[in-house]
Amino acid sequence: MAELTEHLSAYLVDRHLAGLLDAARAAEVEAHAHACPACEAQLATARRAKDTFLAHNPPALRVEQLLAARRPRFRWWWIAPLVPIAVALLLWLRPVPGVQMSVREVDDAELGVVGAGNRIEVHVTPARHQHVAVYALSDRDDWTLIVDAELEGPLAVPHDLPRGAPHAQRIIAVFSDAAVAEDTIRTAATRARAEAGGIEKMGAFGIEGHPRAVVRTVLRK
Amino acid sequence: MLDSRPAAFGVTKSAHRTSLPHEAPLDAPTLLALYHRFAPLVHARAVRVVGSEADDIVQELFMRLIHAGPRPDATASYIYSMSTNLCIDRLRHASRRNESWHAELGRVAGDGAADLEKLLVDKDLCRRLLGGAPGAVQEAVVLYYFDEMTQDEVAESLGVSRKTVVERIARWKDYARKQVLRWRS
Repeated sequence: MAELTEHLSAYLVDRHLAGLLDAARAAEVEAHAHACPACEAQLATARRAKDTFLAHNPPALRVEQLLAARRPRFRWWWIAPLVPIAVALLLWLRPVPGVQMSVREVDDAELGVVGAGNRIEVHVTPARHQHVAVYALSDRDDWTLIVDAELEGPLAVPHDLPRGAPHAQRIIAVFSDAAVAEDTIRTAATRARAEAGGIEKMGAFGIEGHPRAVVRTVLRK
Repeated sequence: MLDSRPAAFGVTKSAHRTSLPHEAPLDAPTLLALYHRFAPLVHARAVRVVGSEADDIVQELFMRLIHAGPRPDATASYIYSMSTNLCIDRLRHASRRNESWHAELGRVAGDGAADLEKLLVDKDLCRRLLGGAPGAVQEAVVLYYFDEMTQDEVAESLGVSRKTVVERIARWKDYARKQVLRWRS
C-alpha cells in the first residue's frame, strides 16, 4: 500500500466514508487528515455532506419509495419467440408484386391448338421469387411438366404439346422461393379444377403449406 | 493527491461485468443497507460531476440496482460504474439540450491568456466540455478529474492499461483545446 504523501483525493474520501477501505488504510487516512489541515477540512466537509444527505433522505423512507415505485421489469427475451412469427406475418401481409406469364404460339397454333405439331413457348417473368415450376394440365387430367427451374430473370421455355391431343391445356406456373413438390402442386391443381368444374373455368389457386407461392394460369385451347 | 490504489474493495470494471448476470432483485433489508452505505457516496460523486441533478442520479441508480441485484462482492464496482455512466449520460443530454454555454465558454476563454490546464481546473467548464467529448474518454476524465484518481487507479478501475489512460487523457485535452479555440474565435 502506498504511503500517504499527498492530499486526500475525492475518491479516497468517498471510499473512506463508505467504509470501503480496510482498517489499516482507514487509520492511515485518519492519521493523515489529523496532520494535514487541508485534508482534515476536506474530510469534515465530506462528513457533513453525508450527514446532510442522509438527513434529507432517510434511507428507510427512500427505500420504501423506491420499492413502491419499482417498475415491473420488461424482459425482452419474452418476445424472442414471437419475432419469427412477426416476421412471417409481415412477409405474408406484404403485397405480392404482380407475376407475369405469357404463352406465345410460335407456329400455326391457331390451327393446331388441339392438333399435332403444336409448339408453345412459355415465358415466365419472376417478380420476386427464385423458383418456378410450369405444368400443363389437360381436360383429361393429363399432367405434364414443362419446366422446373431456379430463376434469375425472365425465362422462355419452348415446349411441344402432345401431337393430336384433341383437348384443352391449362398451363400452370407456380412461383415460389424454393422448389415445391410436384405432388403437392398437382393435388392443389386437381382440387381447383374440380371445384371450378373444369380447366376452362379454373383460375389461380393456393398451395397448402406454401403461403408465399404464387400461381398463374393461362388456358391454351 | 494520494497514491491510493484500490485495496481490498477495489472498483474494477471487470468485477462490475461479472456482477451483471447475477440479476436477482434486491429485498428491502439489503436495499436499505446498500442505500445507507452507498447513496451518500453516489450523491457526492454526482454533485462533483453533474452538480444540481445529483439527486436524480441517486434515484435512477438505485432503481436500477433493485433490478440488477449485483453480487455482494461486486456491488461497489457496479455502483461506481453505473453512477459514472449515469452522470455522463446526464452531461451528454445537457450538452445537446442547451448550447448556450458555448457563449459562456467563449467568455471564459476569451482573453486568450489562460492556458488549457488552468481552464480545466474549472469543474463547471470541464463538465460542459465533457458532455460533448468522445465516448471513450469520458469515463476516464470523470475518474481522473472529478474523482481525482491517479492514472493507475483509473486504469485499474476501467480494466485498461495505464498507457491507455494516458492516451485517453491526452485525447481529452486535445478535444478540450480544440473546443476552447473554436469558441474563443
